[in-house]
Amino acid sequence: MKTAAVLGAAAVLACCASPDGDAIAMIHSSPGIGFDDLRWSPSLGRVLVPGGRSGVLDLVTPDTGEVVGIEGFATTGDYSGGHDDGPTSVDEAEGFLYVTDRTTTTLAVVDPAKQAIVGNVPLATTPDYVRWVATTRELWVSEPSGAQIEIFSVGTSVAGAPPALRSVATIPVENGPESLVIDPVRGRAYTHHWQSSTVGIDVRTRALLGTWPNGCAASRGIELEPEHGWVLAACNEGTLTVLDPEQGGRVLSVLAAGAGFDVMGYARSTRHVYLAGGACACLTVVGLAPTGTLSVLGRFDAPSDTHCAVADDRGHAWVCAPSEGGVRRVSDPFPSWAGSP
Amino acid sequence: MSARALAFVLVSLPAVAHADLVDVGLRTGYARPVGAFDLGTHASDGSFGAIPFALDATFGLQPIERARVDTSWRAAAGVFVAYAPTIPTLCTSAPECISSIGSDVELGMLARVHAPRMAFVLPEAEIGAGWSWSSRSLVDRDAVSTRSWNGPVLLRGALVPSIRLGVHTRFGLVVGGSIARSTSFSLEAPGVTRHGIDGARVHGTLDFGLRFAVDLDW
Repeated sequence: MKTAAVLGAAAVLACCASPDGDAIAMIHSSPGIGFDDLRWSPSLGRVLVPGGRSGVLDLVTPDTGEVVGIEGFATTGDYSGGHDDGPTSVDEAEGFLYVTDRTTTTLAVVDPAKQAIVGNVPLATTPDYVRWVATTRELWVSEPSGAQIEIFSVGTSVAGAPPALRSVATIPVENGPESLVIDPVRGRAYTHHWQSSTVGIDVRTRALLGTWPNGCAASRGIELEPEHGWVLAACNEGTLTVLDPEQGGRVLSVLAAGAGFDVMGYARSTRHVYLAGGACACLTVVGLAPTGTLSVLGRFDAPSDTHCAVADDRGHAWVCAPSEGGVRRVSDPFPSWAGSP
Repeated sequence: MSARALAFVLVSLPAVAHADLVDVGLRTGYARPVGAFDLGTHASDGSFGAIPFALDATFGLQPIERARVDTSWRAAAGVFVAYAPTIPTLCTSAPECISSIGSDVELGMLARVHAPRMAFVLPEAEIGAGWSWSSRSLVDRDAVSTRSWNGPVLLRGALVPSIRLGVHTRFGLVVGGSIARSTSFSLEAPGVTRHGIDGARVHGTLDFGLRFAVDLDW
């Protein structure tokens, strides 16, 4: 009887559950925003939220939820439900923010102090993610429509002027690249093929280090566990794997939970992985033990069109809520996994 | 056992079961997933629901005259087998969605109670238990990832109000559900496999459907 009651309650909740967390609307939130990449800036102490469609790079104060918008990116009036318009990816380097714009096919330089776009360079084709490669002072931009990563050299900023950007090379990634993460300590970049595998690239030589099975039918998000240099691969079908490039890409652990995962977050201090999925309408919290073992810690209800998450260093997971035109701040109640066996 | 002895047993079965009717039913409908397979996976994560196709056969537990079939309380027991293709939540093209169709398979025992006719409705209720096997897949180009669970069906129950179509045929609605527990899990994905469940959970279905039945004199 108790089980039946639980199932009955589950059925009711399944149809009517509202997303957990505090809803924080972005600038120009209506009729929805096509989010993709979310980043945490330790130096600014802000969550960076590129607003696809709205034309705004939103900076969110984690404790208060205050939103400051940097405008000037491409806007579109209609929201299609996707994230094909305007600014969709951002990364931070040496006091500047670098933002890709899918509508204008450009890479913009943003001065967060001036809250303004201070530079712009064209991209070879439609961008996906931009990442700072400190090892070589470059910006790498993944361009799936060209099956390549475009590399920009970054000049030195003089007297606060924006650094000069120059496209210097491309790296072909057949059947990709999907997602992009940099290991600055070991000088490596990692990206996925759309199916089944992850590739490692030496950022200095730009040579392929290896291609490793990642447990994904449909590869999506990627993250780095910096202490060991492990690569986390999130699959659309709900699988998460830990790969160790030092061991030829050996899968250290695999876990299946939820569904519809894409952009994931990783909290280094607690070793928590945040996976947001629209198919499960959930935010799944996973602990990554120092041994490489993955464990599901719990899950929250999330918007049914979510697919991206990021962690700050204040104990929050941030989940994109496209049709709400905002993000949801979820306080993580689970214990740190840093000391787990 | 010799062929002669086997034939004797088969011929003697009706007498042993004290049955006079065999009720064979075929049903289909919609099964809404509820609950969770394991710690991280809700039953609805990989499927919007299932379209079950089930066959059941029950044997009357006491003799009864044909004329009193619809006006008496009767009990029957038998077996239930179901195959349910599940509607995938993840896939981007029609061919991949078709390839990503999962399945729920169930095999169990079933008991059925027939109440006396109320107006033109033949009230029936059924209860059972068994074992279920569930799998959910995503096919993306040539890459396949499949999660599978199995475990006992702790309880299956339904109300089946029916109407008589003919002397031997009935047609009814099925409103019910099932409660199952996953005790085994496996993952088969590109380059990885995993076995062993992480936090077994209770899941089930809410069932809505139609059932066509034939009752035959044994």
